Amino acid sequence: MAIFPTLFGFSIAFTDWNLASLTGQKFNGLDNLWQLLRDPFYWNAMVNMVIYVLFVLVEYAIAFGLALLLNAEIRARKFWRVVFLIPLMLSPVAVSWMVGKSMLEYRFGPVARFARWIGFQNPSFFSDPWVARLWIEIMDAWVSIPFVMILMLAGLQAMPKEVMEAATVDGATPWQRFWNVTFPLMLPVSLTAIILRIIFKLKLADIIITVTSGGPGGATDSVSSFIYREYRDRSNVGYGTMLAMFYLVIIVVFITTLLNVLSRRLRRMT
Amino acid sequence: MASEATVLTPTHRQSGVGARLMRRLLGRTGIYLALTLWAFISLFPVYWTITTSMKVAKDVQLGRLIPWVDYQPNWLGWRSLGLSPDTIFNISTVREEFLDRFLNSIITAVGASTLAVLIGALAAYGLSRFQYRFLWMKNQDLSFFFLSQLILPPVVLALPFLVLYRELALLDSTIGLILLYTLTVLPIVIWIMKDQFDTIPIELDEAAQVDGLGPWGTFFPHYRPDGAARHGRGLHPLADPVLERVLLCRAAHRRGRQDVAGDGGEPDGLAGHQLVEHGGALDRSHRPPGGRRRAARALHHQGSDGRQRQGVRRDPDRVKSVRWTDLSAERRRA
Repeated sequence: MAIFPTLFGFSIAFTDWNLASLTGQKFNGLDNLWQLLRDPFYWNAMVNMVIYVLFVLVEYAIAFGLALLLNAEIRARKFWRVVFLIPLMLSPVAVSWMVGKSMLEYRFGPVARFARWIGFQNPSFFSDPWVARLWIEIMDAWVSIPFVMILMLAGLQAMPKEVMEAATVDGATPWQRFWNVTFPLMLPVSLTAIILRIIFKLKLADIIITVTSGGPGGATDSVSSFIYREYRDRSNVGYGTMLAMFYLVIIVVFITTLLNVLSRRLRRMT
Repeated sequence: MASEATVLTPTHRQSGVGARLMRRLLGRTGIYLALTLWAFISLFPVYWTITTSMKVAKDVQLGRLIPWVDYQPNWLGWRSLGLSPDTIFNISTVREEFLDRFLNSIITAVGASTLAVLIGALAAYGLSRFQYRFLWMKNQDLSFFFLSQLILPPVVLALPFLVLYRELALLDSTIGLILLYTLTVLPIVIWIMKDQFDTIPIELDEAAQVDGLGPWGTFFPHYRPDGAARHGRGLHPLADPVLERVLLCRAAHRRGRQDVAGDGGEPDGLAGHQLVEHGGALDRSHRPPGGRRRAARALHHQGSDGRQRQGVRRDPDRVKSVRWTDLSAERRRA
């Protein structure tokens, strides 16, 4: 169940199988690979992925802040926690309709109205490449910040209280306490959270497919959404699978290096 | 002059206290402001969706926001789904189709998460507690293999699964969906649960083994011989808080972990948990205050089935109070 699909995928990655073709699949060696290396849209999507992945750090910072807020001495903690978790419970597709198609509608959407009220003449959210990328990222962050937050919160609550008390007794300011106690102690959890988040981010597709389907001019395209279009619109199964497999190899190399480097760093620090 | 000085001094001292109070107040206000801001961010889209569902086209185009104040809510959209109050008892094909899909989602979600947590918890427990060797792969490599399953973008598997499911006649079936989703969430479950099992002191497991429980007994909450299974939880009791967070559902909260600030009397909720789970006779009100050490000692005295054990009495002080530092040292050694 887990292994067969991967192996089968590898075998069709080297065929010219197109669901619309009458001749069925035929082995064509490395042709797909050469085509991939010269495919500007694929590499464009790759660059977008790098940008999206870098945004994970911002998400992490916000999520950590929220976790700290929830861990502070506040009233009605359960209430806040449930409220903060609500976006996580919605499906990304629903979110892309709620936010992307409805709230960000450039004529009647509340965000457009607000932007006009601030003074933008013609707010449009998905026509400038960078603005479009930013809004896709905001939607994705809105769904997934709670996930990181809950991981961080679990980490914060598992933190031994004694260390914190000792630091307070020693007269550390809250700022020092955060940077010298909380942050280092939270590093392992942070790593887990960030890596999980990067992995999820690399699969980002549904929001893009629903809201922009890659536009404007491929500016918001993620690799997954590009592959999806290759499958669905062009029925190019062989080539699409090759794209996916290549992506998989890149991801595995990337994640392995990241894990190794980070864990070595971490070991040196502790 | 002198009188002025005497007046000044107390106010002076007071202003020091006042400033601290002021700063504290500002800090609190800041916290609540931030909380409110983020709550607004999380809730507004939901609010927008719900209110928009009761607008007519004109209200949407005019950007009306608050029901009853600047527009009159209307059941139009809900009526066409057959879910508005006046149509809910009528027969409606649309509603039935909608609810059918809804039911499908629920069945798939519940089925897949139950299966994933069951399998995942077992796998994680094994990875955390035992040493495996499969060909050249050891525990670490196995964990990474599971993780790599998570990395796979779902598109990659779309076609292979289509072919596989056609062969297995699983196409268009709920079971197929459940299996597929189990497969996709399993890595996360394993990873998070393994992290959690790693933080549980292995001494507790050893204590349970000394008390005569096998690996299964250590893993599952204990059945008391008199048949009064006291808990609704199904897994290793100590993993529960995280499980709860993973599933985002609240299991029976016997002792909500450090949820309420200021119940600092007990430095860790974990031992409390364990205590309640194992010592069937104890309940919340009898739980002794004090940290892991006390709890562990009590646990030990209690024996695993709630009675005093005569045969294997260990020195209670040997059940170490495991601190974070000990634990990390332990891990580094391993």
